[in-house]
Amino acid sequence: MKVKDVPQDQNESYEGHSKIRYAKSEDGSIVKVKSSGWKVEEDATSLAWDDIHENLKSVYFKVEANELSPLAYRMEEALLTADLLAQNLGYWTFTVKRHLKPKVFNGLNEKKLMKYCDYFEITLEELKTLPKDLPWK
Amino acid sequence: MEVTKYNHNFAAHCETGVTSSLFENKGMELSEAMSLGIGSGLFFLYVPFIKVMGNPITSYRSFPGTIFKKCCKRLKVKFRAERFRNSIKGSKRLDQLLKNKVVLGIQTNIYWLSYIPKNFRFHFNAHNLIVVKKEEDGYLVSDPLLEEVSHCSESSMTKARFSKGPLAPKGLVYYIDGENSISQVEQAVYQGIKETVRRMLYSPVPIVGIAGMKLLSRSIRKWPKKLDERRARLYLSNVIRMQEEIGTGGAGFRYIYAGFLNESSKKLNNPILLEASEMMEAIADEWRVFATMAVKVCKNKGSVTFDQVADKLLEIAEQEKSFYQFLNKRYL
Repeated sequence: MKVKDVPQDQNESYEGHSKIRYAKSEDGSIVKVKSSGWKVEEDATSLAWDDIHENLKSVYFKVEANELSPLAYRMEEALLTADLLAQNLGYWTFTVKRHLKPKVFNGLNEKKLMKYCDYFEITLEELKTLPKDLPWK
Repeated sequence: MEVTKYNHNFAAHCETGVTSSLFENKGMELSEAMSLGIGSGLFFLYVPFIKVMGNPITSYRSFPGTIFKKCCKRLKVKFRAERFRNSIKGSKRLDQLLKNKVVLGIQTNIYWLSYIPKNFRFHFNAHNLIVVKKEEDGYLVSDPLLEEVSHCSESSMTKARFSKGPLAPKGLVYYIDGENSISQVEQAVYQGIKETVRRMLYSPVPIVGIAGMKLLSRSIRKWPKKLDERRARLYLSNVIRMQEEIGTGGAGFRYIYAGFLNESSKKLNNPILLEASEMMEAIADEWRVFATMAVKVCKNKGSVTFDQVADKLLEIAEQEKSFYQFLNKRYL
């Protein structure tokens, strides 16, 4: 790839930043070139995010139907699994899985809830409710 | 900004960028491309039976953390690396080192770094960056993926450094110890290339190197039959993300590697490496074609099929094979 062929496709995911790609310059050496995005990469990224939003949506409706606790939504939103969340908080995986049940979740004391709040960097109120602005809209 | 003597290095990849920065801030010349080559960063790995975020593992780079170490060892440069069990001790040690004006490389979970664009933040535990100094409410960090130095709050820093899970960083800090100078570049380049060639050609397990590419090619053929359509497309798009999205300089590090061969050939006055560089560049171009085809399948555009993508990969595998064989015969 020559320097002039480096894609500059304005990938919105870059949020105004650019990325380095390597390409061949006129004098035959291979140099760093700033690139604002490549359509092919952008498509792959957006496919992955579409899938994430799809999963998040289904969790959202399950929480709304009271099949899962709001914690499930926050967990999915943070791209975590129960296993990973448990490791980060020092819980057993089955403890976190229990907390995903609305009945168990509603009976948790504030201290335990705060542990989740601190990790997700949200307030107690936010942990107990579903958000209003949804990422897939 | 009052950064004393620190030069930020905007690079394609985090680990090679950090390695190059750490060396150059100690007055030793080492470009990103050279660190990839000497640290044997070029790789291929496909693990169908372990899934990360739902997708089988595909990697175009060697195991995280090894590039810096190998560069130091092969160039006879002394370095130190420290890990911590206790996050309070780890944070204290970080502050202490920064007070002594040591430029530090650290390992982090990229999810907690708020200055990175949102769409690239996943729970990936092996993102490397440099901490330059402590500020009132956080740290001044130099992340090779961004053009400018950035700011990171203290709480994000602790969360990022002590995140758990696969490849957990355990607060890893690493730095070049004392005054050093690079020696034996020629030997280091030789060792770097030798390891890469051996690994890609003669891997004992069929998930690494050329064999790994062929395995992936066979898997791609099976995906549309074995999985539902959506999952098959996600698997394929994940391969492309690993090749392009995560900061590889394009074509899964193949362009940077061509740069390494090119630079080495000039430094060591070796025409064989220049020829190899041109071969690698042609291979990198093919990887780009592969990515374009694969995304067409994923987006259901045009008439490209999974089988055609698999064929293309097989073609590239053969091309890479003859490249490594060329190096094996003519250079090693």
